[in-house]
Amino acid sequence: MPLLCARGVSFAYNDRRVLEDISFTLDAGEVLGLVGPNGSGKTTLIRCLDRILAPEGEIHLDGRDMLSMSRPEIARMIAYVPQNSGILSSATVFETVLMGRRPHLRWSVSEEDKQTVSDALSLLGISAFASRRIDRLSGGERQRVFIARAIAQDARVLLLDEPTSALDIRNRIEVMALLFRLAEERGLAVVAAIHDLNLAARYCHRLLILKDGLVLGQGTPSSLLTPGMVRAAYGIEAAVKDEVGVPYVVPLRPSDNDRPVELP
Amino acid sequence: MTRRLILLACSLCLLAGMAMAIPCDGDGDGTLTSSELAAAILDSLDARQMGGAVEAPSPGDLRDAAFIYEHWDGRALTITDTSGQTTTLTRPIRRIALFNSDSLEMLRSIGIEPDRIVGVSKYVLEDPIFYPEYQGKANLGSVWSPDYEQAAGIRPDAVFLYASISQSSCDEIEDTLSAIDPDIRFFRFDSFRPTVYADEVRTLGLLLGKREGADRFLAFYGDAIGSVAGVVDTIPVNDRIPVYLENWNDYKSAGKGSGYDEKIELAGGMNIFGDNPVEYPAIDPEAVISKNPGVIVKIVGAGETTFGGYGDDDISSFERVHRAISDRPVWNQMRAIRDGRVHIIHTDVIGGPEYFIGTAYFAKWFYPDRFPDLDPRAVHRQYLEEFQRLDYDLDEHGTFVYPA
Amino acid sequence: MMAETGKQEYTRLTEKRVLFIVGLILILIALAGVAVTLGSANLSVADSYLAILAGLFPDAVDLPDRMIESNAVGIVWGWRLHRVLFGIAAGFGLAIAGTVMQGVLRNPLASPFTLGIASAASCGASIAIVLGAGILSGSLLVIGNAFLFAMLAAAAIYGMARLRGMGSEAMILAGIALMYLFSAITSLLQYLGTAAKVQEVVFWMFGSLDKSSWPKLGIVAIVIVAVIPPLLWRAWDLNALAEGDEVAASLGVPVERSMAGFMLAASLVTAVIICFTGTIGFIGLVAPHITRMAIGTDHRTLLPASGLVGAVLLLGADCLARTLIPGAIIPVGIMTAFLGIPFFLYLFMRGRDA
Repeated sequence: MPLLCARGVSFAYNDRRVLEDISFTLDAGEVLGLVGPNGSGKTTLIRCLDRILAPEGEIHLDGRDMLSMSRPEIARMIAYVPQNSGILSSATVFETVLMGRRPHLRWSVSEEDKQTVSDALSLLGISAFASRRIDRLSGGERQRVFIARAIAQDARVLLLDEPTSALDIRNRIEVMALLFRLAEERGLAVVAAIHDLNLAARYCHRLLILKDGLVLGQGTPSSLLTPGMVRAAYGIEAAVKDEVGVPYVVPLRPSDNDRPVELP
Repeated sequence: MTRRLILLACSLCLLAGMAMAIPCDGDGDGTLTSSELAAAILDSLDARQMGGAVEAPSPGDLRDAAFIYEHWDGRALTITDTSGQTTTLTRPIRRIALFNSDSLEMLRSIGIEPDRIVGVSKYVLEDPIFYPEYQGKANLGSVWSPDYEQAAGIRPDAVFLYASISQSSCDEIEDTLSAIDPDIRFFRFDSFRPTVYADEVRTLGLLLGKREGADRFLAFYGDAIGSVAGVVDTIPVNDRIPVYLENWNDYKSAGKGSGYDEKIELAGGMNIFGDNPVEYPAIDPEAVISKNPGVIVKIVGAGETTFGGYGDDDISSFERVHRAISDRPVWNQMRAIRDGRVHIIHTDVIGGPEYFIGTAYFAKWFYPDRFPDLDPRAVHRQYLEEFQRLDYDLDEHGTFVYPA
Repeated sequence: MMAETGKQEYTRLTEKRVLFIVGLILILIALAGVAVTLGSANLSVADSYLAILAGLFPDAVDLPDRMIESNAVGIVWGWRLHRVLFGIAAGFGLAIAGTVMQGVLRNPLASPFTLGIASAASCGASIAIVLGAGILSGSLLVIGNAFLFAMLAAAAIYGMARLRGMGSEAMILAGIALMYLFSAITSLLQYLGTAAKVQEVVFWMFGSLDKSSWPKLGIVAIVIVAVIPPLLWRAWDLNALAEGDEVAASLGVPVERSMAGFMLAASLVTAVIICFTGTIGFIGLVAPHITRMAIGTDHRTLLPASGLVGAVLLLGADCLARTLIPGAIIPVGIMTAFLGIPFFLYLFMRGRDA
C-alpha cells in the first residue's frame, strides 16, 4: 500500500492553471525528487500535498482520503520543511524544533516531548546549538533545524521545498544523504523539490519531472534522465554520463536561447 | 411642651446630618416662620448662656435658618440653571468650587464674599492681577483636566460648571465627583452669553442670597446694554455697516453662531462672514476686499497675539498689529483702512462677562455719530470699581483697545 | 551528553520565565501600594492606607478628624483606588492586545495604533464631541462612539484582509489606510468644531485614567477575564504563526480562523479600554518588545508577562504623570509617549549589531 497517492491533482490560481493532472504514488522508505524548471509548479504541488492549498483531484494518505482528515490529523501524518528564506522568528533552536510537537502537544510540554526534540537535534548533529537563537545561525545550520522540526513532528511523510538551495556543496550532500538515510531507516516517504538535477539524481529513488504544471515524466533517475528529456524540460543540450552508477547531466553547449556576452 | 417638641425636631434635624428639611422648621411644614426662628434663637441662647441642659440648634443651623428666612422667604429654594437642571435646596451654599472662571467674575459682580469660594480653576490662579483675593484658593485644574482630589478635598457643597460648552467633560466631572461625595450640588452657568446673561445674574442672586447686589448690577448692565440696543434697533437693516472681524490669528474670521458674530450684531454691525458655518473659518483675503467692509475689528489676546489685557500696560504691540493690517498689500485700498476705521480690541473686554463693554466699543466704532455720549471706558471703570471691587486704575494700566 | 544540556537549558529557560512573571507580580503589587498614596490631596502614606481600611471595615476603624473633614475615605475609595486598579487593567489589556497583534502580523512594530483602531476610536469620540451624534446618549455618548468605531475598524481590517487573502501584509496595509482615513475625518471635525470642542477632542486623544470609575473598571475586568484565558489556551497557535503561515498550517493550525479570532480578541480588549481612557499609546508596542527581549517568544509566558509589564509601565507612567509637576496632572498618554522615546532610541542603537 503506497503511503502517499496522488491522482489527477490540479490547481489554478485565479484562472491561471498552475498544475494539471498530476498523478504519482510513493511508498514508505522512498525519496521522490521533484525537478523541473522555475515556475513549473513544484512549490505549488508541495503545498497541495500538505493541504496548505486545496487542489482538485484526490490525495490519499496511507489509504485515507485527505479530504476526510482534519487539519490536526494531517499534521500528525505530514511534515513540511519550508524554503530557507524569509520569515525568521527569534526563538531558540530548541523551541523551534519543539514547535514540531504542536500536533501532539497539550498545553504544557512533557518530558517525552522534550526527549523527542533532543533526539531530533542529535540526529541532525545540531545539539550544540540548542539554546542559540535561530536568526543567528548560518543557512546550513538553519536548514537542519527545520528538518529536525519535521522529524520531531513524528510524521510519516516529509515534504521539503528546496531544502538545499541556500547551502554549499558539502552541506547539500550531507542534507540529502541524511534524508535518504531517514527514509530508509524510519520508513518515511520523502518528497523534495530540488533545483540541482544531479543532486536529485544521486539521492532520490525516483524523480518526477514537471514542466508548466504537467508531468513530463517519472521514474528512476537512470531510466528518466536522457538528453531528450533534459532538452524537453529545460531547453538545453546536455550529455548524460554515468558516474559511480548514477546518471550525471553535463550541459554541452549554449542553446539557441543563450545570448553569449560579447566581451570587448 | 411646644418648646421641647421644637428642640426634638431640631435635634432630629441634626441627627439626620444632611438635613433634608429646613433647619429649625419646628412644625416641619416647609416654611420657616419668624416665630420658629425666634424660638430657635432663644433655645440656643438658653443652652449656651444659661447653661441649659436641653439640646439646642447648632450655630450652623441657626445661621442657615436665618439665611433662609431672610433670602428665601423661609422656604426651600427651587432653581433652574442654564442647562435646564432643577435643584431644590434646603440649605444655603457656603462652600463654592468653580470650574468656570466667568461665573466667578459674575458672582463677584453681585457681591459674593471671597470666603465663600473654596476652589477655583487654574486660570483664575494664573491671573493675580484680576483675581487678587482668590490666589490662595484650591486649584481645581480645568474642565478638560480637572483635579478631583483637590476638588473633593475642599468639601464644597456646590460645584459650578459650564452649561453650553464642553458638556461631556462637565458630565464627567459631575459623575466622578458625585461618586466621591454624593452631597455635592452641581450648577451649570455660562456667564458669557448675552442671551442668558441677565437671567443668570438674577438666578445667581437668588441662589446665593445676593438679590440686592444682583439688582444693582442688573441696573448697571441693563443701562449699558440698553443704551446700545435702543439706538441699534432704530437702524434699518439695509443701513447696517458691513464689518470684517479677524480673530487673534491672521485671516481667521468669526462665522455664524460664534460669540463674536453675535456681538457684532448686538452693536448693529453686519458680519461679512456671518453665514459661514464654521466657528473660526479660514477666509480668503480677496473675499474681504470684494465685500468691502466699513470697519475692521481685530481681536487680540490669544493664539498669535498673546499680549494686552489687564496685565499688560504697553500699547505698542497693539500699534504694531494695527500697522500690520493697514499695510497689508491691496488691502490698503479698502475704505475701512483709508478712512482709518481699523480697531484692535482685547478678549478681556469682548469675551466673557465683560462683553458688554466690548459691545459698547463696537457700537461707538460702527456708528460714531449715533453714539456721541457713549463712553465705554467709563462703563469699564464703573464695572471695575463698583462691581468687581478691584483697585485698578484704567488710566495707568491695562491695554484693551486701540485706537480708543 | 550534548542532548542533555539542550533539555536542561530549556528547563532552565522555563524556570527563568516563571521567575520573571513572579517578580513582575511583586513589582506590580509594590507599585500599586505606592500609587494609592499619591495624589494632590494632603494624605500621608499612613493616612492613605488608613482610609482604605476604613472603607473596608467602617465600624472597626477610628478616623482622625482631619481625615473626616477632608473626606479622605471618599477620595481614596471614590477616586484613587479604582483609578489605580484601572491603570493596572488597562496596561495589562493593552500590552496583551499588542503582543497578540505582533504575533499574528509577525511584525514587532504592530500595535493597536498601526492598525488604525486607535484612530478610529478618536474619530468616533470626535464625532460625539463635535457633532453631538452617537449611538448612546448622555455621559455614554463619547464612550459608545469610541467603542463602536474601534470595532468597526477591526471589522474593516478583517473584511479587507479576507478580500485580499488573510496575509499579514494585507492586514497592515488595510490598517494604515484606515488610520489615515480616520485621522483625516478627525482633523476635519476639529476644523469645523468650536474652540471648546476642539479642546475636548484634543484632551480625549491625550489619553488619561481620569475617567475611570468602579463600573467601568468592572466592564474592563470582565472583558479581560473573558478574553485572556482563551488566548492563553491558544498560545501555541501564536507560536506556530510566528514560523510563517505555511509552516503553521502544516503544523495543524487553522490559519485563517486563528488569525481572525486573535485579531478579534485583541481588538475587543483594545476597544473596551480606549473607549474609556482615550488613546494611550506605546504600551501595546513597548511592553511586548521589552518582554520578548527578556524571556523570548513563547507566547505561553510571553502573553501574561507582557501584560504584567504593560501594567507596571502604565501604572508607573501614571504615578510619574501625577507627581512630576506639583499641582499639575499630565495626561498619562503624554507620559507614555515620552517614556517610549528612550526605549526606541535604545532599540535604534542596539539594532546596529543585530
